[in-house]
Amino acid sequence: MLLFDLVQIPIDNQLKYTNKFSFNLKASSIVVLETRSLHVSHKIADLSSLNFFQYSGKIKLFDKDIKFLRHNERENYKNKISIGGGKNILFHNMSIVNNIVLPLRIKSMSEKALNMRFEELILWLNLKNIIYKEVRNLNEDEIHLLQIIRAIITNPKLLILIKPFSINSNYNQTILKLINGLISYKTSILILDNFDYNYQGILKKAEIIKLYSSV
Amino acid sequence: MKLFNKYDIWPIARFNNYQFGLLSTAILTMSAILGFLYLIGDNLNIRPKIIVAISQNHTEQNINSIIQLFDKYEVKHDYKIIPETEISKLLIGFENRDSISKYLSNNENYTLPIFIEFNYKSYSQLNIENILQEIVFHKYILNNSLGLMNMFIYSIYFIFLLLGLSFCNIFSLKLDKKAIIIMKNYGADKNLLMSILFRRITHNTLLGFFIGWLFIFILLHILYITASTSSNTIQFINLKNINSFFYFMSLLIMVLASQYIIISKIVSKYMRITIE
Repeated sequence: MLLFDLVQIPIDNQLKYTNKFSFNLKASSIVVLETRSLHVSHKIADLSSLNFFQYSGKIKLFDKDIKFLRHNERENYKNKISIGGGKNILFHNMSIVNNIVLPLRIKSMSEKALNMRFEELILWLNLKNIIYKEVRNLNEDEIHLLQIIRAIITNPKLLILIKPFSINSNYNQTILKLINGLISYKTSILILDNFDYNYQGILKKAEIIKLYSSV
Repeated sequence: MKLFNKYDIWPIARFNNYQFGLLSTAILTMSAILGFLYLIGDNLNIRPKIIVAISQNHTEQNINSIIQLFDKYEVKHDYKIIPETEISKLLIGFENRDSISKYLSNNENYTLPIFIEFNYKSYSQLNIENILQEIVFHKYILNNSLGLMNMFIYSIYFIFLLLGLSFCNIFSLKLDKKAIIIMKNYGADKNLLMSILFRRITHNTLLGFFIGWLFIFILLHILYITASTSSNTIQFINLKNINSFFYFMSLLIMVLASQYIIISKIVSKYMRITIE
């Protein structure tokens, strides 16, 4: 699904590079990549979602080297990948519903199908108390959860989550439920974090790779 | 889908991103109209003239009877009887030169017609056609085509207009960079973004244009009541002649096209991916 082989990524305005690192995310599995800084996590997320191409080494996505993807292949693969959290902020001037279904509208899904998908998700995760709020009134944990929901609404093959859990969040259980549910739907999940959370305890099937010694 | 909905479904087409754009389109339209009126005001208001040619073959139609008629209707200073020596010069300016040539040359028992010149405004305001209803006459409108100098001034004017448009667009059309990048991350291509933005651009341009035109329309009509504006200017702003319609259409297309080009360039810039 996603292979990083001896990859180096530029940091600090491209003057410095990370050390070489590798991981292999197989289909329907979870890899937790613990990096030293959130900046590196974002770069890895951007590389994996084909939004950034400055690196050395080899990156394979769906068994193809991303350097040699044609334009239509790249667009096709991008549709199969979603990023939850990070820079994909919620828009304050849109309702929560419109924020969440935005990726589906971009994919020209009909309003009926889109509403069905949204209601299905909200019922499954029991989020009725959040969706009627205004974006500006949400707390950080709620925003984070909604960012993840927006990422999964398209049923991605590869889901990249940046710092999905936070200590003292009321929604950790909801996110955990969501991750386990997605694994059973054959989604591969890459979690990027920076040592804040004990993944070993909650995600038993996950392969945890610590990059603090190399990155 | 409502375009002004507070919770617009597309983040990049939010109204608050464009309020300033709308205002600048309106201001630009106003200045474009005022600039046009300032530049060709003389042509609109003074140069177009109506020449009435009255045959003297009929017994009642001679200079004295016509002057009496005008006196009766109090047309005192708004006409000028053209002397015979200047008649040949008139031929150059007539819209339908052939008909007056025939008129001058084909009449048997040839008697030179009386040529009376009216200002376009006074002709319509004094209702000359009604005054001369008992008299056989031909009406000619002087051709007010543009001279080379006018064309040069127009070119300069349009260059300034284009520059003004570019500056207006650059400063007013502030696109939400984050929204474009996020939409791109979720798979939106340039065509989708441009189609969403195009609705906003069109709406903005039309609304701004209408506000600008309406403002000048009201202003000129107020001035017209106080007799400071000629009927030609009013006809221009009322879109009653084909030239003004053409002018407004080209102005609208210019505003629309310049906004589209600038937005297209900004969107391309935000969507560019560097592959290294």
